[in-house]
Amino acid sequence: MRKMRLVRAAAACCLLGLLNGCWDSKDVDNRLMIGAMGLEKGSGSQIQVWMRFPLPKTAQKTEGKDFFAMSQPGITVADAMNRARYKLPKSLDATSTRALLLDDSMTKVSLKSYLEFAVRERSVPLDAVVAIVKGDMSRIFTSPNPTGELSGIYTKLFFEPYAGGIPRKNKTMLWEIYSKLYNPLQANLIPILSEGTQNSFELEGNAIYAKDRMAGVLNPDESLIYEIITHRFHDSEVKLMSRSDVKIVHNRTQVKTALSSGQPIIDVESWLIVTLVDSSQMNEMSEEEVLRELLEDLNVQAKSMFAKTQRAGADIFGFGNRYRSRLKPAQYEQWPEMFKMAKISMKFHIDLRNTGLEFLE
Amino acid sequence: MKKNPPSLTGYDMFSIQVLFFGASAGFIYPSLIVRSTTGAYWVPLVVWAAVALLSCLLYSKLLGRLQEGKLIDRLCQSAGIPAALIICLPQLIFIFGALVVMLRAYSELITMTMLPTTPITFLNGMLLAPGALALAGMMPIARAARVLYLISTLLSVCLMLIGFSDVKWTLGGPWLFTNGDFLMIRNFYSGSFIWMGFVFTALIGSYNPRISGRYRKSYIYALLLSFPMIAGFIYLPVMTFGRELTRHLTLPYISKMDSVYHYWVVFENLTALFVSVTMLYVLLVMALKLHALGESVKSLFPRANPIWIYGIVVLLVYASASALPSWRAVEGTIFYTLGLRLYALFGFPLLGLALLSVRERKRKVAS
Amino acid sequence: MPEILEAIHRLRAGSGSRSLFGMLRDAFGDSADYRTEAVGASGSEPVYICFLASLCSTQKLDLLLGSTGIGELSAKLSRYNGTSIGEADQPACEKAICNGSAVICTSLSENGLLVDLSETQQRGIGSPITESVLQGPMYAFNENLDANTALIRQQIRSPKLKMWETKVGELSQTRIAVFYCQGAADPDLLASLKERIGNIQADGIQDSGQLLRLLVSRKKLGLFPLAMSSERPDRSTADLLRGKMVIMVNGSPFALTVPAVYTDFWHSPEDNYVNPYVAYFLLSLRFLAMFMNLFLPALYIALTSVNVDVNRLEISLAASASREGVPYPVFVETFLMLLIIDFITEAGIRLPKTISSTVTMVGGVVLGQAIIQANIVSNLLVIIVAATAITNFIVIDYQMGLVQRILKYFIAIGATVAGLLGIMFCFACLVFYLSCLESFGAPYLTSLRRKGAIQP
Repeated sequence: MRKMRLVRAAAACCLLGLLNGCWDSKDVDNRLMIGAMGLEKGSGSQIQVWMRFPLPKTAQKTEGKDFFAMSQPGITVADAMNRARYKLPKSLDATSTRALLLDDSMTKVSLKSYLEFAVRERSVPLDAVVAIVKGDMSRIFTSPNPTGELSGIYTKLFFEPYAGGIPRKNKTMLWEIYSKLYNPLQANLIPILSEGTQNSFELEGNAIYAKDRMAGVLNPDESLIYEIITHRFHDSEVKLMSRSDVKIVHNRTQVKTALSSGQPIIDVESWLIVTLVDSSQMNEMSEEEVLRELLEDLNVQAKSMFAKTQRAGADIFGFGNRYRSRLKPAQYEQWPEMFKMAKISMKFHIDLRNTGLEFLE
Repeated sequence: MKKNPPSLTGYDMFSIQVLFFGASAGFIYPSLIVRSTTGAYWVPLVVWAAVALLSCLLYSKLLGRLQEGKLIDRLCQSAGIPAALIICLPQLIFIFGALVVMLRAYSELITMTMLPTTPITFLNGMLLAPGALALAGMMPIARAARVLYLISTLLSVCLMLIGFSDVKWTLGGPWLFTNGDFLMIRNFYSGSFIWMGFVFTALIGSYNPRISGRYRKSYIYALLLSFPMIAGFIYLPVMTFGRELTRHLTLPYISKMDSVYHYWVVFENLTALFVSVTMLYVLLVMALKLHALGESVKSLFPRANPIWIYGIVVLLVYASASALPSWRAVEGTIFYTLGLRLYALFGFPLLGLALLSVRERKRKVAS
Repeated sequence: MPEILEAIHRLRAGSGSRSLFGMLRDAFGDSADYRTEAVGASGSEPVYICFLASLCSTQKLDLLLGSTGIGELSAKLSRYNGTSIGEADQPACEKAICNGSAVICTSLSENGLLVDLSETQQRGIGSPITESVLQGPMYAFNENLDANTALIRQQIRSPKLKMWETKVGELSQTRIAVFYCQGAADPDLLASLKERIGNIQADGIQDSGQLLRLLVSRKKLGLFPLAMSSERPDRSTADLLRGKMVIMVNGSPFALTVPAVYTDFWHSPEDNYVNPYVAYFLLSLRFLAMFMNLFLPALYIALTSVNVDVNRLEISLAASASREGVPYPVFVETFLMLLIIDFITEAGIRLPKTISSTVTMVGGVVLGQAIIQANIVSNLLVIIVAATAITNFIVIDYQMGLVQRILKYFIAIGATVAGLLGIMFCFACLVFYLSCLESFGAPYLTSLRRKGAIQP
């Protein structure tokens, strides 16, 4: 009996402990969740952090904006977020951030120090998409999104393969950027959006990063070759040519690497399955002509893309990773220089399909 | 009818060993291995697995000498309690240290990932549940292990399969290159703790030659099954983030879980799921360790009340885990208890074997 | 012929001060249904028959009391030839009268003759009420032990089916029967069960559930039912054949099956009668429902107050919108709603069927709608709570369902304190607790699969 009473007393104590518990409990309606976050270079060493909070749609009010945007300067992102709390009635919650938009001005400074906060504190999820945005941050963040609201979600959908994402958009997540900043054998390629006239933004190209600075831009067509090489094809892509349009529906890429007396030799071979979408009725093209034009096109773009990346010494494709076993770990840091001298060749094999079948003959 | 003291079945031991790997390999271990070498990561794994296997064979040899009885009881009988105490003391301190580190590391992990403001002293209170289970005895632990094994390995395997997204095999290299540099790095030695599940099962339950064979076999099977899992804990982050970033991450696998995004995954934050599943492992393994510790103490001090023994052990572990000031201290403790671990791996079974064989010879001479 | 008459004549006058007749009159003096009738004479002494009118069959009595005339006694008694008639002293007579026998004695005799005239009040054999049968035998046990025994014997016609019987209860003298199959049942378990039943100290036993509580010592009394209670004979016989033991209490239509392990409570007898794939599907459905029932309210608390980052932003926004204007923390509204739904469930069970549907309608629909409009709880929560209530009814065993209803609060507390981790911790505690339990010697978490027979 005495033991029973002891047990009960202990249980009561535990319950008392619970009373002052619930340290991390904060109800969802008392949080303001960041949907999209923007980083802009502020005055001096400061950084301007933009935040867009989607507001819940309550039954009572249907009018007005359903998001709230604010900006806050600070020395670091964490500092700015802390200061933003001075202004907010509810708890600031960055754990659901969907998109991180970097202003054009951020491309001129080192990214690493500004992105570190996310990994260090786990405040912003590592799977948020990142993009560089050209244009006025305040307009992008404060004006409603014409395609719908919930800016953060829509920015993410813009890139997601299951929604509006196409290979050329090159969806890049925060952890990818961060891991490539550390990896000497691979460089970053971050999508660039520019402020759009019809929608909030539109794809302009992809920024090549050498180490942690921007070193060039790939245009969307060149980005397509990048996608073909890195094999992240998840959707068909339309390729426009002078007199006919084709759709690339599937591809397979083989990369062969070798090292001959310090010079990397990289052979890329790609098999594309292509369907003919539209060919001009006016001047009928033969299959061979279509193929030849496509090949020419692809080769030109591949060449210019490799030239751009090699000039910058930015191995965005991760060819360097294939040399991990062949180089000594101490040599990894020299890879960008080696990449500049690398001999890269690219060969396309094209399989044109669906040429016989057309709904409109 | 007097029944034999209960012993674990092969499946029990197997599931306990797998749970042990799951509990210890997921959080600190990957960073220790990744930081220990610039060569292939599986080499240090295999080295330690081989060492552990050797030690396991030693233990099974020692346990095979027993005829129905607990190891420590038998040592006490054949050497007298004071001598047994001297032999067992480092072993007990080792278990104690392992308990403290596991509890503290796990609650630290929780504050780092899911409950940042909850005080660690409160989180350490989860020790109560394993304490109660340890007090309830060996068979409840075995039964709970079987259930949790089914549930948590299923979830772990699912998480690991999901973790294969965004994996680039080229990032894992070098695959074959090794220069033995890990032998000079302390992290390599710190990582030894994950292989030692068999030490704890040796201390509980009664053994005879047949059961010791089962003991050996169950560890080998568990090792075979868990090796891919442990390799996954290390290689998945490496193949996602690359070696360079992984070296800088305190908890690589957690960050890996953070990075996974799929449209069809219901939970946005797989880390939360992983940490929760790990809790199942950790709670059970702590119960196992507490039981091993409590049973050993009970054998050494047969007149003590088991409730008091377990109560004091739980309190001590709780106090020590709460007293560790920081994560660095945890890592330090892991390293500095290396001597104890080596003793537990080799010193203890060798000494035990020597003791038992000397005893046997004496008896033969006497008769 | 008249052995009975001879026996009456043999009844000796007592040497003691009091005769049986007088003592019986004193013992049953204040009972209105106690009757004594003079039916004849033995020598100079009148012969009486004493009985409780409420327990005796009027048909059987008719023969004795029907016509008048003392001289016809021998003729009357001759009709009872063949019925077992025994001589007994006063305590035995009292007991026998309580069991529905009549005592024949002379006014001075010390002993009496017992004639069994009992008639038990019982319900006919109907179909199970608490467990609805979809496939399989449609009859159920009733309150009569003998009828129940017959039901079991009808399904297992073998000498290997054994029945051990005893009486428990100082006053009630309730018959308790233990059935088992020789060879299949564990003898150690049987011996310990018999010993436990023998050790029961109680005034009376009304139901097998009460017996179970008495069997399991107070210290070990846990939350989970340690024996399966069922009113379906097919279930009991199937269990018997698998080596389990069935305990029946006279007066209770529920048979207890021991030992029962956790998974037994998730199997319905129907599982053996339907297509195995369907059975597996149903089984997984039930386990899923169990997890839903235990974890859904807790998950709601965890995901809307502690681990908001675990669910998608869209869901968080929806939850946030539905909670907008609710002035209480999540756990308060959840506990409130859980309590209300439990009130509704209880009300539905206790009320007559005709009214209960109205109550559940009013409770569920009207209250639910109103409570949302009054901004006391969020409408997401109403969905959660409704799903929780529905999943609770998927549980096969009523007692297990009750346990689940309690446990969901326990897990919700864990979620309140530490979110998802709290849920996991509570779950682990639950597993630990279950693994410590033993049901009559068999570990509660024996196996996840159903084995042929319980191994000791």
